[in-house]
Amino acid sequence: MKKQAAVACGAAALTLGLTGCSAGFEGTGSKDAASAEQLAMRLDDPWDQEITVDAQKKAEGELRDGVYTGTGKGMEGSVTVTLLVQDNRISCLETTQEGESQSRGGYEAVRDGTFAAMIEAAQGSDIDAVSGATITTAGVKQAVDDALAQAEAAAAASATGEGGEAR
Amino acid sequence: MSENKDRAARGLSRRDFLTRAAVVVGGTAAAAAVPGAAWAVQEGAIGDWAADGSAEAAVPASADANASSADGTYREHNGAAFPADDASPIPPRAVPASWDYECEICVVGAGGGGLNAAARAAELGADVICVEAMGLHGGNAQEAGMCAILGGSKLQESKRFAFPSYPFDAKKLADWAIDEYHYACDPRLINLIAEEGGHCIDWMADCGVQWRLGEVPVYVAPKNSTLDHHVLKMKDATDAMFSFGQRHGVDYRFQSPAQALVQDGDGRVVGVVVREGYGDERYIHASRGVILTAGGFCNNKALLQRYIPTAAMGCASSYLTAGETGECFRMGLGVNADVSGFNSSASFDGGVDWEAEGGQWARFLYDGMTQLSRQPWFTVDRCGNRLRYMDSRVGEDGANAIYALGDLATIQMTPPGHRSYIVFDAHYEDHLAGFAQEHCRKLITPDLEQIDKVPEHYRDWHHGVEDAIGADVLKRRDTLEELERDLGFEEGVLVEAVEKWNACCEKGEDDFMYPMPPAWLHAIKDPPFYGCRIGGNLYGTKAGLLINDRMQVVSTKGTPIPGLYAGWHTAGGACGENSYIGDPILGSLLGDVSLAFCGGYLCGTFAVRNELQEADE
Repeated sequence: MKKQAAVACGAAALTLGLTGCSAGFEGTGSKDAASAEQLAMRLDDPWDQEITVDAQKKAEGELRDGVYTGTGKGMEGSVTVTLLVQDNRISCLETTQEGESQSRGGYEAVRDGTFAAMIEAAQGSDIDAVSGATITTAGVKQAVDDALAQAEAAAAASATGEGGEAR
Repeated sequence: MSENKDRAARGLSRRDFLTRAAVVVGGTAAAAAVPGAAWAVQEGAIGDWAADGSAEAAVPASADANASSADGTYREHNGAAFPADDASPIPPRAVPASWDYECEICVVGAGGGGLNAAARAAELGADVICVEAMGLHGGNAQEAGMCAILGGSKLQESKRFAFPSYPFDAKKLADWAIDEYHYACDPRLINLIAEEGGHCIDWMADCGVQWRLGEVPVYVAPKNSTLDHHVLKMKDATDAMFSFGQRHGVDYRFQSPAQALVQDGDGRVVGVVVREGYGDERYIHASRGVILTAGGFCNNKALLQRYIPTAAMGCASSYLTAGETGECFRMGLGVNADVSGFNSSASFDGGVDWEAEGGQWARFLYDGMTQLSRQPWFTVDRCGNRLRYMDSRVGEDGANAIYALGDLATIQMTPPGHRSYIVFDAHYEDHLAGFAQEHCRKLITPDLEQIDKVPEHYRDWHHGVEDAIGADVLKRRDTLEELERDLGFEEGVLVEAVEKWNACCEKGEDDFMYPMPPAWLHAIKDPPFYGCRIGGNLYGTKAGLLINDRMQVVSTKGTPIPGLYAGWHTAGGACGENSYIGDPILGSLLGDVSLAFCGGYLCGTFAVRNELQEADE
C-alpha cells in the first residue's frame, strides 16, 4: 500500500534557477529581486497529492464497534479526532482543531481531510508528520490513540460482561 | 459514506476541496470542544469547516462587502472571518486558597517580547515562569525578516550610522520622532525607546543572537540570512533567546493559554490563571510581578473597531497568524488599565481581501497572492482615480525603499471607501521580473535560501495565486465590463480609467502626478482581465495598555497598577496617537519586531529592578 500516490518532483525545476542567490552583499546595496528564470520555476503543489486508502486493512487490537472521539494537544488548542469503528476497521468522521490560523499548524490538513485520510490509510496513529505541522501531527496521533483506547476499553468491558456503551 | 471516503473514492485533491470550501465554508464542530473559549475559533466562524465539510456559514455576496454596500463610507468586515471578535474586559480572579505553581515573575507569552522578558528577568536573578498559548516559542516574531532600528547599536556604530545624524544621540532622535508623531505621544516613553533600542540589540547579541547589519544600515538581521533576507529569518534570533532563557532556568509552559489575571485585595496583580495543556485551569503565583508580552489584537475585530478604526476599515487582512486575539489587552482592561496609542497601527501594502470572499482575515504573509498584489500594477480607487506607487527597490536610498512598504499601505488604506483596486491583464506574469520588487514584495520561488521555513504549498508563488483565482479573490473575467461590475465599480468608472492608462502606455509616458517609469507602463488590453481589492495588511496594533517609562501598566486613575508590566504590543503608545504606520521606521523608532524585543527586555529589566532589587533595599 502506498500512502501517498503522487510524489512531488520539483527537483528538475530546482536545477534551473539557482543563480543569483549567493554573494555576501553586506553594505553593498546590491539588489535582491527575483529573475525571470526564478519566477518561472514551478513545483508540484503538495495540496494536489492524493492519499490512497487500502480498503482491506484493519486496525490492530480488539475494538468495539461505535463512534469514539479522542483528544490531543495541538499548536494553539486541542485537536479532536472522531472515529467510526466497524468490525475493527476505522473511518475518520471528523478532525477538528481550536484556535489556529491559515497556513499554520496543519490548519489546512485538519480541515481538508488530509489527516483524516492519513488515519484511514494507516488504520491507526502511525501517520507521517505533515510538513510544518509537527506539533499538530503529534496532537492528531495522540487523539487517535485516545479514541482507540476508548474503543479497546469498551471491547474489554463488553468481553467481561460489564457492558458499557461506546460514546 | 463519509465525505472523506467519498473524496478518496473520487480522487478529489486538496485544491479541489479548498476551492470548494472557500465557497461553502463554516461549521460548528471545530469550536464545539471548548465552548466559549475566547481564543478558539468561534462557532460558525469562517474557516472552521470540519473534515466532512458538513456545516455552512453564510458569506455575503462579494458586492455586498464592497463599496456598493448600504453605508459605503465605512468598510465593514465579516466578523466570522476573524479569530476573535470581543472587546469586553476580562475581569481578574481573586486569590485562591492555594496556588498550583510559584514564581517571582510570570511572563505571559513566549514570542519576541516574552522570550526577552523572561530571559532578562532570569538573567537578573528572578525565578521566572513563562506561559505560552501555543505549542512552540517564537510567536509572530520568528516570521519577521528584519529588526529595524535607527541607531545606537554597536553594529551601527561600527558603520558610523545614526538617525537623524551621526553621532547617535537619543534625545535628538526622540525629538525628531516626536515631531513625526505630531506631539501626540508621551515624550519620556519615546525617549526610552530611543535610548534602549540599541542596548536591547547589543544585549541580545551577548545572549547569543548572531546579528549582521542590513544592506542598508537601518536594520539588523540574524547572521545566517544573507540575500533573501526578508523571509521568516527571525527564528534564529528567537531560538537563541529561548535557549538563553532555558540556560538561565526559565520555566516555560507551552500549550497553556492565559485566562485571567489574579488580583489581591490591595489591587496588586499577584498571579495568572492558565488553562494547562488546553485542559484544566491552574493558578500561578507571581510574588513580584506579572509581565504581559502576548502581542496585540490584530485579529480581534471588535477591539480593532473600537480602538483603531482606521485599521479596522483600511486593512484588508492581517498577516499575524499566531494569536493576536487581544486577551492580555482585555485582561488589562479588566484591572482598569488605561489605553494609549488610540487609532495607531502598522500595516504593509497589498493586503488582499480574502475575508470578503469567505476566506480568513489572518493570512500567511508569503502566500504568493500577497506578493503579486504588491507589484506596481495599475491601481485606482472607486472614483477611478489613480493611486501612486512606492518603489521598494534598493537604489540610491535604501532607507526610502523600506519606508515604501509602510507608506504604500497608508496610500491604499485612505482612498474613498478605504480600499484600492489593482487591475492587470493576461500578460501579468511577463512583467514581474521587470518590476524587480524587493523585501517582502519579492515573490517566493523554490530556490530561496531557507525555503524550508515556508509552508510547502507556498514555496512556489503560483500556488497561492491559483488559490486566489479559485476563491474569486483575484477576479478573472473575460471582459473589463464584467470585471468592473464584479469589483463593485459604478458602470464606466473602471473602463474609462483603463482607457486613460492605456493611452499613457501607448505614449510611453505616464501623465499622473506620480508617474510610473516607462518600463512599467503595461497596457491592459488582452483578456482575461484580472482585478483584486486590496488594502492594508495589518501587522501591528499600536493602541495598547498605557505604560509609564518603567514599563508599569497605568490605571485610569493615573497611578501604576502594582505588580503589572506590559511590553509591546500588549502595551501601546510607542508611536503616539493617530498614526497609520508608526513612522519613522515601520512601527515606531524601532520596527515592530525590534519594538517587541525591546519591550520585553525593558519589562524584564524594570520588573526586577522595581520589584526585587528596590523592594529588597
